Amino acid sequence: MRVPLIWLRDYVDIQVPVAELAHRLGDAGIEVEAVESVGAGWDRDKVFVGKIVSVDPHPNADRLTLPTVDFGAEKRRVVTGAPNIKVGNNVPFAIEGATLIAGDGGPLVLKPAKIRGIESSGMVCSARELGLGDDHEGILILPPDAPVGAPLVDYLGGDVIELDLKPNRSDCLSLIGVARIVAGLFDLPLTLPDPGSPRNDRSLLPDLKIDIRDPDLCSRYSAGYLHDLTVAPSPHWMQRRLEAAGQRPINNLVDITNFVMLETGQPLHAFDRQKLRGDLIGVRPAEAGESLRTLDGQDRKLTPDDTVIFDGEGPVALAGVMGGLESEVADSTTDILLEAANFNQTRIRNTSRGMGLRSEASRRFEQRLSPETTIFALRRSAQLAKDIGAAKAVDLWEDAYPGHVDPIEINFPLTEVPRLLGVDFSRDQIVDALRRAFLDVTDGGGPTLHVRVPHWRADITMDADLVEEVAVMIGYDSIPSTLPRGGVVGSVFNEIDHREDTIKDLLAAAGYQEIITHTTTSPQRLQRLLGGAGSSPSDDQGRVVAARFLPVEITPLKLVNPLRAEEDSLRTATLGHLLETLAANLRFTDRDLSLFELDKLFIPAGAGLPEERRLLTAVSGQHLSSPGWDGQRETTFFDIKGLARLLFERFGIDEIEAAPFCHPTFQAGRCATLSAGETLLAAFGEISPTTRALFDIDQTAWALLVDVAALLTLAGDAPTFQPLPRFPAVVQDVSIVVDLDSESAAFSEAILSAGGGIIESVRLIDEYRGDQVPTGKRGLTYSIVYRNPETTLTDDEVATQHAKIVRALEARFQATLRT
Amino acid sequence: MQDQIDRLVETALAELAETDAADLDDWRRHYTGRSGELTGILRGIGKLSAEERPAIGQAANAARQRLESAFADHQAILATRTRAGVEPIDVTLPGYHPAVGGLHPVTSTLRDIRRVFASIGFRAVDSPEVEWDEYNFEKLNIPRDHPARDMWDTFYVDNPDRPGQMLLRTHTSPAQARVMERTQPPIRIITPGRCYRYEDVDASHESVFFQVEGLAVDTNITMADLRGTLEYFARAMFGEGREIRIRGSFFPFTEPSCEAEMSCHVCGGDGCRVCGRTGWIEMLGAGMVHPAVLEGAGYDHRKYSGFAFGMGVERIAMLKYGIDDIRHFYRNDLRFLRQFV
Repeated sequence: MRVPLIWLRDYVDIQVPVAELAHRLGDAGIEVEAVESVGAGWDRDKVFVGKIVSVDPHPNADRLTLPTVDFGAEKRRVVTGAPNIKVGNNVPFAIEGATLIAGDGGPLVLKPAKIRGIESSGMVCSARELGLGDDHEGILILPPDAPVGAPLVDYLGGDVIELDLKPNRSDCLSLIGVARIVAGLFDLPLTLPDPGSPRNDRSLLPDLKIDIRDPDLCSRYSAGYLHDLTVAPSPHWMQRRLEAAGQRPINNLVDITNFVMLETGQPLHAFDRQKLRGDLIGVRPAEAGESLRTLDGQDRKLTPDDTVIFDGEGPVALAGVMGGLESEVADSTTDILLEAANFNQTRIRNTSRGMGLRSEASRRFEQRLSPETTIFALRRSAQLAKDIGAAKAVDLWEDAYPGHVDPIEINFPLTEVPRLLGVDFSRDQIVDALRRAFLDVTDGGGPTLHVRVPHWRADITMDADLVEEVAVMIGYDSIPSTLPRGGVVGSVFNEIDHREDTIKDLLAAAGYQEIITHTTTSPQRLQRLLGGAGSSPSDDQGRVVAARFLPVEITPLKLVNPLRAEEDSLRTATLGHLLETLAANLRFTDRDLSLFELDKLFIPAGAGLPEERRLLTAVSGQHLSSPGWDGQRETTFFDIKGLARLLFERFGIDEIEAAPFCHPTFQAGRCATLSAGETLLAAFGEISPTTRALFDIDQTAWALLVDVAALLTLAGDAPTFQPLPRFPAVVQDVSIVVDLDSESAAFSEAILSAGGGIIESVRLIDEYRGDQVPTGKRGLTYSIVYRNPETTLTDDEVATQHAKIVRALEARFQATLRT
Repeated sequence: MQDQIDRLVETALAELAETDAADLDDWRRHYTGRSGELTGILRGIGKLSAEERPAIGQAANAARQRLESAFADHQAILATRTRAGVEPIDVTLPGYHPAVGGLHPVTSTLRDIRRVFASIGFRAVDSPEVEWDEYNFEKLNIPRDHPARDMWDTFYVDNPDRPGQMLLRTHTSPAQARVMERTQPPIRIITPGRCYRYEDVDASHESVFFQVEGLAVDTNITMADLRGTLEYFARAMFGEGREIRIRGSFFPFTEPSCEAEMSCHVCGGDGCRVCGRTGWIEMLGAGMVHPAVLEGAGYDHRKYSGFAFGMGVERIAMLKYGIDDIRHFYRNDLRFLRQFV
């Protein structure tokens, strides 16, 4: 909504600087998006309204002329190339020192110049040179009544504030509405135009019947009548206001409807009365299959969700959105039916959206307009039509008002103000604030005020709304700062689990950089995880992994209105986003590409809300840093497994079983699941070459996927203190040669169980594959810590137990001692 | 003569610091030796009066002691440095950098926000990202077809069983309704989380972003409490001296509604590029919980009142770190992320 200050001052004498006005409006919740100053650069003593008193030819150039311009103080002859000036034209005229706008948009300071041998000491200006528009072909011709010699800024300049209105303030879609707020905020008198009392000379009026089929479609339909039309340009004061408000002047009749709409907020529509069939105008839903040719020449197919204006034979306009071509006002028009109506906002909104037709009128109807404004708007139109000689007018022809609603009345307890604002305003302050908001307040002296809400404030229906008016008028700044007091807050559901912070901290400490990706994806992007056609199938454990961590075979939730095809679904897997990020960063570096994300994937759950499953996903590129200025080494299976183990131990989960699986995302033989008892916690391994090829990753990549909910469910309580050992430990290693396809976990268990209760821990410290052991075998070295918590172990005890362990390994696994 | 001695000591000590093991003896001979400089000065003592002689003699002895002791220290240090097998290190060589990762700046900012609000009794709770229209709009006093819906451009989720009902939450405000329907006042919570808007992405708008919702409901919550809470937050986050001003606004689920602005943390309110020369920075939208929202949760709006606010996490992070383009956050370029480790 553009509010020219020259127009606003017709109703309220606001003289504060425009910046202050904008600020106060903003404080009051009427957001000012921009302040535009037309003619701010036009010096009062350098840019004038001038009159062309003569035009001579240029002696040295056919395309140039030498107009002499009278600008009050003196007459000057200048040189111009403009083709459109004639003697008697009023034009903008600038003298030396004036700052105009050059062709490139930069400033142009006028200097006296000689053009093809002739002195030019001033300039007649185009719209573009004045910053009024793009037109630079010809000089801007001003109306004949422009005051010659006046500073141009007084005649054409002025500030315009542009409001970004919130949907509650439909009253501010009008100059009068904005003027009311300004009057209230600055405590100034408001002067509204007085269109006089009704002048219904019914003898002049043709018959008219208004037929509103359903009050829900149209709460009020009022018609005015214009006849004896004299179509001409409207006067400068009206054109100037319309232009500043962003409406192009057309002719006096069109300009009146636009002017009154901007002034009152009430859209008007003019029908050629002679083209309406029958003495009937009405409002009804369109019939299925009905169509209407609108003003823009398009044939519109209508549905019962659209609302039409109809005459004796059929639809003549799309109510509130656009007129019909058939009943359009044309040069031949002799009399006009002027419509001021109030339509159902939702239906107008749906129609204007559905058809992509949004106009100043439909924008207003989409908001809640007051039906009380129709009569005022018609009277005002009639008054203007007469005043500017556009037509003779009858302000009210017929009026149907089936949707009349009584004004809202509120018994407003004064205590609501301190209860909601936390500040005690005096009774006088509150009453004064409400009155400045144009509320009709009756103060009987009791604990409540009686407030009648004016028809244009549809947003005020209850106490809290009145409290807001008080805050706005007195100023939010008078509210002090306190902190909430009161009881202890009870437990609430679904508290955010702070242990997720611990997980993130641990990953960061282990060298992983957190990323946050978008949760949207597409089925095609998800399918890439499976490595494309011909990739390896899953085994049973692989299917368990897929279901928990990568359920990409489930159809993801689809967005109805995606922004982009590649973001048309909610992800059912997180890994793809990490591999994409890995690939994107590989363009800059191949060092330390260790990334993690702890976030959601979305598993559809039939008609209900999806499961929002939280997964920790970590990926690593081929190289990890190692100590040194340029140290790096290859990432291995054991780096990823060790990361998982670090995480599980942090949550008190020490007993973890690893099991191999087959799944196309991972390289078979280099991936495993990790479980604690029956609970699957994680899957990890090397990304299969087919999968990473689809992500454009040209080096090995590793991934770890952890079910966060499962991890936190199994997590132990805070660690319980263990007394430090009082007796020394004895550490002995054992190296055994075993089959290549054996599982190392079995040996450590066997060592423990053969340990006779004096083994504190068993730890693998080396695996050897190579020439020093027979083919098909490998060497494993375990470090065994012996300790008796009650007493010091003797060498004999340890030696005896160690020998038992070796025998057990030989007996159970055909292991041999490696020497 | 005293001056002469002082100058000599100064020169000698400076030279000693630069002297290595091979030249140590030369230094000693030159300054404190039998025919050294100090001895040279003392030879002139005979020309002094009897009154002056003791003082100068004392000064000369003190100087000798000082030089001898400095000599001994320096000799010991040189001996340590050149201990067999110890190769001196170029201490200006860089250290090895431990491979540490880091948190995303949105995570760090969210933690800061949570910590500040936790310190005044606000608990952080979770709420679904995929929501029903009912919670995202209707329970927040935004009926279907209300023009206020235009304030939130919405992604809808295809759901044949309940068409047009499932959506990606456009704000964290649905948590207000979800919390209130499960619990009774007093309530003091924040809800951090991801939100979605169907809008084009530019330097200051993302279609996916994080918000933190705040909600306090009790028998005595006022707008002054809202202002104080935000002031506490602004000071904890952006430093002492931050002021909050509140200006009118409109949200369907608060009444009165307001926007909170913070005095600029860069210029202190004088006006600079960051605050658009106004001295104030828009921080968030807020207000008193609308009576219809309270009643919708089964609370008596005459007995209970509450405030609510919603702030953009990226915006807070951008202000805190001076980031000029919101699109950096989710491109996950490590050259960006590692700046915040």
